[in-house]
Amino acid sequence: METSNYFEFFSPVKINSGDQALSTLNYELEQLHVSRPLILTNQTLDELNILDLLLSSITKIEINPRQIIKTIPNQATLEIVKKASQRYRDLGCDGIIALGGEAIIDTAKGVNLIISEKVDDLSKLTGIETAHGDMQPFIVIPTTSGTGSEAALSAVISDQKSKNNLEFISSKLMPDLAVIDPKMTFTLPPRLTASTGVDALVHAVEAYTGLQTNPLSDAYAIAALKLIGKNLEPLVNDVNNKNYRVAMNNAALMAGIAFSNSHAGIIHAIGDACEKISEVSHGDALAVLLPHGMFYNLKFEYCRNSYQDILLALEDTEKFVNTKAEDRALMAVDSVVGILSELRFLAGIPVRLEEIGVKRSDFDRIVDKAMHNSALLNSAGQVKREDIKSILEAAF
Amino acid sequence: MKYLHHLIDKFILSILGRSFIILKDKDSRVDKELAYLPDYFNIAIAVEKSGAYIVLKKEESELKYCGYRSSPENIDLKIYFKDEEFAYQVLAAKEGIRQAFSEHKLMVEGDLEYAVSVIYILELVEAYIMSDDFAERVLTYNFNREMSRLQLVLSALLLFREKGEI
Repeated sequence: METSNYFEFFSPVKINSGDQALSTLNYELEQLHVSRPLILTNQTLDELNILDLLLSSITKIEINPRQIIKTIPNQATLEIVKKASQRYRDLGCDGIIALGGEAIIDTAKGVNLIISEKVDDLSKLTGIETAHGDMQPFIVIPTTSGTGSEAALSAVISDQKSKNNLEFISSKLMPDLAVIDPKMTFTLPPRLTASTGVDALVHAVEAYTGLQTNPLSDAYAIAALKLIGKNLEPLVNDVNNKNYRVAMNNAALMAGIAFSNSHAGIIHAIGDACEKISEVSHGDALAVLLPHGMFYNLKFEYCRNSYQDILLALEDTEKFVNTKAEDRALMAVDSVVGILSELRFLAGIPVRLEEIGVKRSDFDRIVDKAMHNSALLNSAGQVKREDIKSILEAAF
Repeated sequence: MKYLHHLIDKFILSILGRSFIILKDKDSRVDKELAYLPDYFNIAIAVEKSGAYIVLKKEESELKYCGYRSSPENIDLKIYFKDEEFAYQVLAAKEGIRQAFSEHKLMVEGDLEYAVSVIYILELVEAYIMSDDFAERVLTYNFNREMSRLQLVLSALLLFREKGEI
C-alpha cells in the first residue's frame, strides 16, 4: 500500500474561542469591513434566544430585520441558497454570518460562492477548487460542536429537483472567522451532545489514519482525540459544564481542521451513504459504524501503528504502558467501544444500524453509494464492495 | 527534462483514453464501473488545466474516444492535475492515481461521485498497461488481466477516433 510523502495543509480561519468570544464580534466586523451582514439561521435558534445572544453582541452596526434569514432548512438546498443570495444582492450586503449547524454553514458557503463567483447556477461549480474569485467576508458561529464545518473546506448542497447532493470542495469556502462561544452550545441536550461528539471522534480517527495523514493534521487530530478522551463523557453527563463544553467545541474544531486537510475515510463514506439512502441521522450512523470501521482497518499494519497513538491519546499513559505493543491497536478499538458504551448508557446513542432504521434491503444501494464517495479513495487498502458489505452486516 | 515529461504525459494519457474504450468491452470490472456513469455523459481528462484534454463520450451505453481537444465545451466532468509534474508521477507509474487524489493533486470540475468512478477505471487501465509490480502496489491485490497488455496496447493504438463536435 502506498503512503504519502507529499502533503498540502491549509487552515486560514481565525478562531476566537471560549468565554466572551461573541463579544469580539464588533471588532472583527470592523476588521473585515463589514457594515451590513446577512445573517443566516433557523427558527429553532431564534426560539432558543440564541439569535438574540448574537444580535445583542453586535452593537456598533445596525441590523435590519431583512438582513436576517431564519428559514434555513435542515439540509442546505439550491433553492434556499438562491433565495438568500438574492436577498444579499437586494440589500447590498457586504458579509455573511452563519449562526447554526452544518446545514446553515453549508448554505452560507453556497451564498458566498454564488455572490463571489457571480453565477446564478451553483451546480456549475461542483467539484474541487472550482472557485477563483475574491470571496465575501464570512463569519461562522457554530451552535453544535461536532461537524467541524466552521473549519472545513467543503459544502454539500442538495438539488431537490434532480434529488442529487452537490459537493463543493474548495479552500475558498473556509470562513474568515469562527466564533466559538460556549454560550451558543449550552442548549444542546445530552443525546445530541453525544452524537456530535462522536462525529468529532470519527473525524479525528479517520484524519489520523487516512492515506493523506501528515504531521500538521496529525497534530490537530491527536490534540482533538486527547480532548475527546477526557471531556466527551463528562460533558454528556453534565451538559451545562462550561469547561467540558469549551473543550469539546475546541476538539470538534481541531478534528474538523484535521479531516479537512487529510480527508475522512471508510467510516465516513459508509455513514454518508446510510444517511443518503436510508435517511438516517449522520451522527447516529457514524456512532454505529465507528468501531466496525476501525476493526476492519486493523488488518493494515499502517493503521495498527496509528491506532497505538490513538490509544495513548484517548487513555492515560499507564494503560498504554501496561498494554503489550502488539495489543495496543486492538485496545484502541476497545477504548472507542468503551466511550460509545458509556454514551449509550448516558444518552442512549445507538449501537446497531437496524436500531436507527437502516434496512438490510438498503445494503446494495448503500454499498454503491459508499463506493463512490471520494472519502473512500483516502481509506487504507483498496476497499471493495465486499468489505463495505461485511462492515454493514457486522453493524446491523 | 520537462519537455520529455510533457511528451510522455501526452502519449500515456492518450493510450489510457484509448484503452478505456477497448476495456469497456473486454474487462467486466471496467464495464461495470462505467455503468455507474449516466448516459450522454462527456468526460475530459488533461495533465493540467490549460492543456489539451482527451475527451471520452458515453452515448447510448457505448463509449467513444474523441482524441485531444483544447478548451472542450459541453463537458460534464473535467479531471486534470494541479501541475504537469504531478501528472508525470501518475502517468509514468511512479504513483497511483488514488494516492494523487488523496494528496490534492487532482482537480475535478463536476460531480465527485462520477469522478470517483472514473478514477477507479483509470486505476484499472493503468494496472493493465504498467508493470505487474506497479499493479500490485497500487491495487494491493492480485490483479488478473482479462486481456493481455500487448493486445490492449495494439488495439488502443489502432482505435478509431471520433471526429466532429462533442
